[in-house]
Amino acid sequence: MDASPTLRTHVAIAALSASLLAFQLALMQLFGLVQWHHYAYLVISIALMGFGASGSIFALLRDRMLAARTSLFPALASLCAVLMILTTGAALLTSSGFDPFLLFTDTRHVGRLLGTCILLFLPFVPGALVLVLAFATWPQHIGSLYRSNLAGSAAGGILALLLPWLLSPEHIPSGVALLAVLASAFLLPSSPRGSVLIPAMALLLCLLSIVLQPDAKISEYKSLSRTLDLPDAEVLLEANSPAGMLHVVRAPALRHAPGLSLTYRGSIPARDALFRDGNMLGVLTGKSSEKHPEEGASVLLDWTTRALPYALGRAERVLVLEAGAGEEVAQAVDRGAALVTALQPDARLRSLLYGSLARMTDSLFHHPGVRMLPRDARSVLASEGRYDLIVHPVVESMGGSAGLHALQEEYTLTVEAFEAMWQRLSPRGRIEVTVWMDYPWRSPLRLCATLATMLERVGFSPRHHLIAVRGWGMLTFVVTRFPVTGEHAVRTREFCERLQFDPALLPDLRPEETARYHGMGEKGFFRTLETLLGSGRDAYIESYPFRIAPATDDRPFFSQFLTPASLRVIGEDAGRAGIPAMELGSVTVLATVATVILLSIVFIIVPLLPRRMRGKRRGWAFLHFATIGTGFFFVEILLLHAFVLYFGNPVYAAAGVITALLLSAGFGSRLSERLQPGWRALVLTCTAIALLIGSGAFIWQALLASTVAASPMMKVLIGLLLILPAGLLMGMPFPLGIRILGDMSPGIIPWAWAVNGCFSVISTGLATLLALEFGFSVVLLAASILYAGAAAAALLLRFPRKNKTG
Amino acid sequence: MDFGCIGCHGESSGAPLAFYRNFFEDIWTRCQVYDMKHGRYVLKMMTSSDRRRGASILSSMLLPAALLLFSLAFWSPLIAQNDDAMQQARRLMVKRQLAARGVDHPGVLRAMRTVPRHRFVPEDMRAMAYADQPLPIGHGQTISQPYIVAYMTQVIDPKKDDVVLEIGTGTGYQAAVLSPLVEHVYTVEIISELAERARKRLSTLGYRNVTVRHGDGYHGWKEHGPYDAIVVTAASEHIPPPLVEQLKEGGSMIIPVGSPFRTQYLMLVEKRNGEVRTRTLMPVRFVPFTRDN
Repeated sequence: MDASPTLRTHVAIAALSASLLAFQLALMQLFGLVQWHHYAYLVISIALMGFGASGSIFALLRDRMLAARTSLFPALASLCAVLMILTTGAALLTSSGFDPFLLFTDTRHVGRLLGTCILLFLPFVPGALVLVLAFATWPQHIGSLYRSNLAGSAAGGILALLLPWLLSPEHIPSGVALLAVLASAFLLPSSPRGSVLIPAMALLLCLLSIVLQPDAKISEYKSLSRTLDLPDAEVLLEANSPAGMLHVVRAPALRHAPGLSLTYRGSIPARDALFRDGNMLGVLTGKSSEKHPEEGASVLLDWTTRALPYALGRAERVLVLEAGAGEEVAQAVDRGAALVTALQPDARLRSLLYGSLARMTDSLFHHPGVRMLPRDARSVLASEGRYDLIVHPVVESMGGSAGLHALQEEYTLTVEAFEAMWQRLSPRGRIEVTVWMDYPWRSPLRLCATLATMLERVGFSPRHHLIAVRGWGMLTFVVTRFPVTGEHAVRTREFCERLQFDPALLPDLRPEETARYHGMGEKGFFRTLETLLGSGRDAYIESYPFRIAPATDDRPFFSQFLTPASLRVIGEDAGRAGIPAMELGSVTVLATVATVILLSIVFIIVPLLPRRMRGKRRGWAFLHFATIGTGFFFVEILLLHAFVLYFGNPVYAAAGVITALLLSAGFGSRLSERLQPGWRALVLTCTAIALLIGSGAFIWQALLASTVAASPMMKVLIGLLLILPAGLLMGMPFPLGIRILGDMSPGIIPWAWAVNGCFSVISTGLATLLALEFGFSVVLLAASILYAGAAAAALLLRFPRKNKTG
Repeated sequence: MDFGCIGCHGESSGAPLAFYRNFFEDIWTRCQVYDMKHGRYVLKMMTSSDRRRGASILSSMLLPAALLLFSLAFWSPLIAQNDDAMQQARRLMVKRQLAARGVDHPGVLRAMRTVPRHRFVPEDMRAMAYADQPLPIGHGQTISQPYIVAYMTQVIDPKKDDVVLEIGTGTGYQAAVLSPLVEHVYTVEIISELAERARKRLSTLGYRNVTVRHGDGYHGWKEHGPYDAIVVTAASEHIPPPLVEQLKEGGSMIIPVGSPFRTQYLMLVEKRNGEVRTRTLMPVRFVPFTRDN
């Protein structure tokens, strides 16, 4: 083995790192397709768990592995490739997966969840073992190796954005496994003596799997599976992109008319439905194909509460925040809007709507009065333009989503988002936002509180600028730029009378009007809405068992209602089994985070317990690697969430943030080689990081909000300016720490790696929970404190210690 | 026993193999005893008195049937004991999950006490048949929580001469519960596999006044309408206009809102004087969260 790593080694490390990171992002997309997106955080934790476990394995088998490293390098890389293919197939593409709905009642599914986690964790172990073996083989070149590792990971982030354009989600793991095979080939010794067979077989398996990998088995509870169960249902089109997997399905029995008035007596035509990642986006709606001659009605939306804003007056310029399948666009066109601006950031869907799907929508998006913008809602709302009507997509799903989207940032449902909409309204403008009723009441109350808070912030009375009407399942709020007058009240009542809806908020509303057509089993809903408009709002929110405080950009988790207090209340009222029934998503997240933390302790810490690590400075090493591991992932998770606001798409945000962060950390690691390893270097870098992040906690939000309307290129530049300095500095403490240990106590390097891995796993879950409970700024402050702690811990190195060997 | 019709009705008209499969499947089910403490079924071990009882039964049988009857006699004490356990599980379900939460319709309680729910759930779910929860039955469908079935049945106030339409047969459990309470139940299931299985199951169990049809429930079943009551067991994002039309004046339609695995509430649709009105019914399982303002 060479005294220093060769170029081939660096290329291999970079290729393997790219493969591991792209595999991680591929799993996120696959989880989003077969289950739901909130498992993305599970994938990050599983990957980190694999890295931590590799440290433990190496700590236990260090001498043997170092002795056999020449043959181990290619073998482990090949094993990583093979496991990527086999475990993905076994865990996600077959019916052996867990059923989230049965996690709390059927212990077999807890076992399956554990099995899924373990299966998906397996590929990361040999992959990370190659890295740790390389670090241990060339400890004095840790900086350059770490740079190759991070640069490769950054390339993996970019690759993850490219592959979905070429491959379907189930085949992407096979594609990224090829990179691990490539790494294996580069790691082959100069005289292979038959060892070339291993990467050759791995290559063969990769190629075979691209052809033979089974199709993704999408959860039977997702709307796509339910639709495909209908008689004669057929998939007309499949298209993948980083924004998600699109399906167009035709089913003669599929009739989509959510919240339709009971007065509607016409037929509901079967239309082709559009799905993204197995969730229905809507039905492809034509301009005039749903005419109902007897009633003179236009589109089915006119028979729902969502037609209220049109009943209040004409809208010339309409902004539809999510173009989806075109239902709201068709309604606006039909209602005579002169210009309908529809937002569709998904490039693949946009091209389909203009191209092959145009026939199914009667070329709706080619209509001269319709323009589709490739931008996200917040960037459009931050720019110029005035609209008579802004249409928000329907919030939640029928009966409520039970917290399934609890971890999803919803940047169009925050106080700041509605304030931005308000600023874009013309003098006769209004905002329409509709929510499905749930029980216990959560989403409608939170939406009401958010709108009322926004109106007060802009200096208007919620009682005079907010109207709401309720059907049998939906509640529509209309925020008006103009004060609601008697004439508007008359129009609202006429609208309700015609379609048999009940008014829920009007300045002169009488109690007997509120449940004339649709009675509510439980009294008090309307009084609650009234309370949320006035001065009793804060006290009511405080006393309510669920979190219904307005969502903000700092805590944009609109669908997260669970609090420790609500857990107790639900437990008392409905029993333990009632908790998942009400907040399934939140509780699943807690359960999966707890599972991964438990597994990380089992796979990372427990193997090291019987064996006392020989070496000094274990106390410092523990503090250092635990704090920087936690701090780094606090910052990364925060950036992943926060940049969704900036880039409008979680996949682009994830790939962009990870690439920029890892690339800059790679450069930082390279720079750290110029520093003399010791306490001074650590105190300097960790203090600088703490100060940078700490100050960022107070300005990042304002900075992002003020530049969100900039061009995409400008936003990338601003994002890089924000991320690069932090990444550069955060890349230094890890290699510095390893080099210090390399000088003082090389035997505990794998142990330090394991500690870093374990705390990284814990920090991903913890960062998310902290963000949910306290907001992003608090996560950033906590990261700053952690790095300050690492700086303080470095001072321990000033004082000589006895060599406490094991 | 409460479900004495099991294995005795309808089988002769089916294939002999299916009869024997169902017969032994039933024996196997009866050999398991519901463990109330852990909420699952366990295999019941035989006692010496069980064997003695089995032997006494065997001695009274004729020689040509000896071999077959030997095995029957061997299991019969267990079957009897297991029947008791089944009945006990159902009785407890009725007492703790239904009566305690306000279901008080005598006919509904009797039906819930009689219909063998464990025969309507997938085999690997039988251990949880009487648990207080919905269970998956495949194709993203569920068999509703016992309480929801009982509550929905009570809400439509079934009468002996009523004709009821059910949309979404699923396993056929809701239809089976309605069967002894009304004149006829017409039930429509859109997934052919489920419809076929439910038809066989209901026939096997002897529910003669239930007619299952594979078809699109959106259109209802106009030929037999109008109906005194319509039970929609699968939540829909809109209420199909044909169903409203096929509801008799003065009739009621009950619909669950929300996924069965999440918090569900029910909606009652009533047709009175030509007007259609809805009423949200809160499951009593949950205490109201209203705060007194």
